[in-house]
Amino acid sequence: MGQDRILVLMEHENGGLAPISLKLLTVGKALAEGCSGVLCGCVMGRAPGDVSEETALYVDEVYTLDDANFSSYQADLYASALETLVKAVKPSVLLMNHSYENVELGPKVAHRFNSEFVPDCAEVEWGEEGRLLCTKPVYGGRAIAVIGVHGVPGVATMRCMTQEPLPRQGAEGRIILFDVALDSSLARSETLSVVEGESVNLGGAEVIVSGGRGIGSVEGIEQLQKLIHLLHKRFGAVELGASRPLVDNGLLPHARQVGQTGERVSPQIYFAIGISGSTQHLSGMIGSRKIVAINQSDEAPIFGVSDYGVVGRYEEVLPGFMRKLEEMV
Amino acid sequence: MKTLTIIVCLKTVSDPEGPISAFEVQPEEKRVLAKGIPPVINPYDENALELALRLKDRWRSRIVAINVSAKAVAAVLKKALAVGVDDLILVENPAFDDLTSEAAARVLSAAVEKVGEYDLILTGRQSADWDSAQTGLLLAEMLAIPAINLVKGAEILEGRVEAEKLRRIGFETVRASLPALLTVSSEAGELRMPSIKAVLEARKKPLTKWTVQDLVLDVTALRTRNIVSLSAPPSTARQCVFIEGGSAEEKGEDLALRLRQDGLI
Repeated sequence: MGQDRILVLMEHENGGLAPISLKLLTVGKALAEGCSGVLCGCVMGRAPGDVSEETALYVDEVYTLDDANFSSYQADLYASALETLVKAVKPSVLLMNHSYENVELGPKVAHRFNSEFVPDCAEVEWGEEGRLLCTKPVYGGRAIAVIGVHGVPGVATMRCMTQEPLPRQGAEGRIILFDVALDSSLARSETLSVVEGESVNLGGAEVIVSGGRGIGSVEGIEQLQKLIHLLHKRFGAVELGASRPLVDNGLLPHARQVGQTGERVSPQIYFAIGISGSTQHLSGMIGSRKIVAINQSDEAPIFGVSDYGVVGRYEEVLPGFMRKLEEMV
Repeated sequence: MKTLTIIVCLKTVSDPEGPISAFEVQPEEKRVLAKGIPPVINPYDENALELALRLKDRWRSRIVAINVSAKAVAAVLKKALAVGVDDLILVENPAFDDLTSEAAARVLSAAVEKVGEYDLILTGRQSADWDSAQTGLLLAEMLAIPAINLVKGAEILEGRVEAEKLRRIGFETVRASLPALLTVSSEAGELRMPSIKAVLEARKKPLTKWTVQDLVLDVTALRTRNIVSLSAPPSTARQCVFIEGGSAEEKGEDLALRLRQDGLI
């Protein structure tokens, strides 16, 4: 094959290509240009033809892995399929969106090539001697590390919420049907049942109202929901968020967690209510345009990153805020 | 049912709840130095330990904790003995400083092989320092056993484990045969508090120390992290305007007015 190949794992959404994949392709494209290489997409699924065709509009080559076993996600099977593909295509880099599935898939694939997996990257670039360099936050965002990846292919997951999607540039990639001849007995675990949660879109929210340890009860969350209801009159996309304690004690689902192990968000306004501001949380919401904090303690670290702060009990502050808001919206 | 052997992998880290000012980024040394805050057991590893204890509450079990480090913080790790771990194994070697996740998993895998028979291995989903989130998964790959990632709860049923695994939205129940490895998330619950009596007794309990010779491990083959650079993040500090005066309710009203003035609402 000769040329360097950058392989990007594409994701499906509602039967089409997931918008996040186009953002990831922007990153892949820059890497491909940096080594005069070939940008490749990998589409895995049950009859993923439409996604492959859509991908072909942006890349040089699309590898389509169509297998009945891909109707639901199973990490061992996906890893085996990728292993077969990587052996054949020999990419220099395998890029994936930062998701629960991919942080499981990444190390499995990297291990089979004695290479390295780096999750949660903010940037990837080429270093000396063609080594992949991954930039990622460490110590809960207290430091930024650039890691030179051992081995080939370097495997990385990226959060690329703020990337621009790759524009269409008249590409007409070759679609290559790639038979991985998957053996379903390779799966070391099986899914017995799935409990779907409510749909959450923190990434696309204009306004996020987040509660923390200080909320601590169902009644507190109902208060936040009243505020969200009110804000809906003015904004299109308003979401309820949470810091880790509310998720750990089961009051809100993990999908609503903002932070290092949850979502990274960048809304127009972020309301932090009853959130003291652990670094785990701050690293997820620091990109918000305006940050408003309501907290009982004037020493809470959250005020150090906020534009507006109210020191007080949220139960007493919110009614006044909402009354005034009601007059305005 | 026979006694289950549950292995829990524990790492110590600088307390991630410590204030930002306690973490000094040293770009030249390419490291983060924590000042004035004590090390703790990695919080996700504590969740894994709690899950192990819950399993032990229900099924006859022996819990073996393993710590791999350049220099073990035994005083901190003894908390594991206080809450109910039966055997705490320390594998120390200066060469274990700054290992890649793959190398750490390799050492752990050698230690697990030396433990011999086991039913379940539990690790935290990630560590609070490098957040690489893969040591457990790599360990399972090396041992060729099933791994279930991001677990919030688990049960043992007839030689199998059934675990609730997080999805971004919702969760799924996944089954695997034993032995298996679970990486545990914070949703599994916080580690229980030991009694004062248990803490005092744990201080006297013996530790097991294994050397690299015990593990038949070639330390020169272990990869260390290739850190090209390490820097402080861009400052996130903002000048917070505090809404002063009046009652809490009036402050709320004032906040709304300020946001209106700024054209935000």
